[in-house]
Amino acid sequence: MSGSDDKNKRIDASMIMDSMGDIDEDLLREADAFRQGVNGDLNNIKSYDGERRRKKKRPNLIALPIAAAAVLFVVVAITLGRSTLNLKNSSTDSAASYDSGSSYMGEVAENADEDAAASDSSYEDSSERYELDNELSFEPSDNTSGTDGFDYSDAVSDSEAEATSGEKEESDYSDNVGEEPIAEETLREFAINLPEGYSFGEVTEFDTYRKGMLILPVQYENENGDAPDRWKASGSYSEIDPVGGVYVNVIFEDGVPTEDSGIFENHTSSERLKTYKCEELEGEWYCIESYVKHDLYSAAQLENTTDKDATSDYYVFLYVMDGADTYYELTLSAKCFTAEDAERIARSIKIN
Amino acid sequence: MEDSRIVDLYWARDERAITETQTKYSRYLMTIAYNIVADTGDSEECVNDTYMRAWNAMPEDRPDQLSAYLGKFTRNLAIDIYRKKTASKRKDSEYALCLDELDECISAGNTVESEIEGKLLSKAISDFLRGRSAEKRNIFICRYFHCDPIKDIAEKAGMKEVSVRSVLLREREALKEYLRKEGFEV
Repeated sequence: MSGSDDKNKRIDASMIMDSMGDIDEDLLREADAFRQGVNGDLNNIKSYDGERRRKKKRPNLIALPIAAAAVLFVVVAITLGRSTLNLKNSSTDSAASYDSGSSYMGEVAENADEDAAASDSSYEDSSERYELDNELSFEPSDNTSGTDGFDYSDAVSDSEAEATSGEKEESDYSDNVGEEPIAEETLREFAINLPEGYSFGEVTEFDTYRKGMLILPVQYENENGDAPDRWKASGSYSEIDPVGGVYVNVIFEDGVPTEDSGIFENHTSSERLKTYKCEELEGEWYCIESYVKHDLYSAAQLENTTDKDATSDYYVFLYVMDGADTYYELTLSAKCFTAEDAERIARSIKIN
Repeated sequence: MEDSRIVDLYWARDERAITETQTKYSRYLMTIAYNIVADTGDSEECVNDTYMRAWNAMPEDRPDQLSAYLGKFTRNLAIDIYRKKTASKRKDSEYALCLDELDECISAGNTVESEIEGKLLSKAISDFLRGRSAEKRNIFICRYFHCDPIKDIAEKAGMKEVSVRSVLLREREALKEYLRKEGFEV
């Protein structure tokens, strides 16, 4: 190859795949031996499971109606729960605020049916499961009620700011567009001290390997672009499947994540800042801190936009532990937070 | 039946060649095809076309390794079908996942495929693979030639899935670096 005139030609993934089809046969022979396993039978290879996959896709005629009935029941229960909450607690806006978008809404509704003091009990319930509601005072203020878009913070104890909070709720969630909330899923109980003015959105499946919540409000415009919401918000909190997809690559050596460990995303550049043992979490957790830039536009889209932000920048804190079934990630927009602030918030994390 | 006997049948234009090939290799070839096209009907079509292609090519060719010889036919046929059927939308197959993985380290852009001798690239990849350990090499070929699911490779290698992903990530990076040194723009 060296010195050939054919060099310096750009190649792409499909060309690599095409060329893989013409690699030397002795290499394939060796790989076939590897694939055959112990009994040397090529038909022993398990990969072909077309029938099994097809069966999986076939609708389950028994389960579907049951699931549909269950969904209908939950919807009715939620509707009734909402009505009860609103009627019984019309003077407290925080009910509406909590109602508006949380995946824990179902539990709220169930409690509402059982408890005469519906709104109070549901807040207690939600606060237990979702502890950060109680800890949203990065810089404690005497006047935390209904000020700057604190949907969830209202649920802490404050019941005074009905109108303000109600309006805010609407505007905040209107920012959370595009990705589907997953009503049946919840996150593990966690706590993070967010500064005043920021709130969490709905539990959302961001990707096949991650679910979580946006930190609102949205910070980046994305006119004519199709960047994910997570790249436009003030930040996000995610639970990540360690073996979910090609993007999660965290390798441990003696329990410590290696230097090149991280989450890899398309159209994203990442600079590792540091890795440290995370004393805030129980167990051998490590936090990988990075500074990440997401491209908000493709080259073609960039030509047609007047937005000043071509990228969105975040401090990213990835919490990992060898053998853990879930990793956690907190991102905080560099537009909103200094490195010191971001690290202080990250160090406030608690996960049960 | 031994591969050499089957090849003899092809050379003798004896139709039992196809029956014997089918008996010995149909599932192996279906695996390759299905990993790429993710459709049983299309996979069967690829495999049947493979027999036909082997029937037509064999009097000139005398393959030492019949599985690899047939596997290449199946793979190419399956990729052709994949491309035809997914011109507008990618299908959810292992082949599509392989492309995504390679896209991670091999940049897309204005390729000059017509100017590239595919064989040069194949040779470079073969040379690269020869320089790797047998385990890494086999994992890489299972993934990017046979398009085997990572779960199955992990099982075969006696490793965790996450470890196989890690090996693949490092191998992709190493390949990228190797190709770059060899003068390819990646």
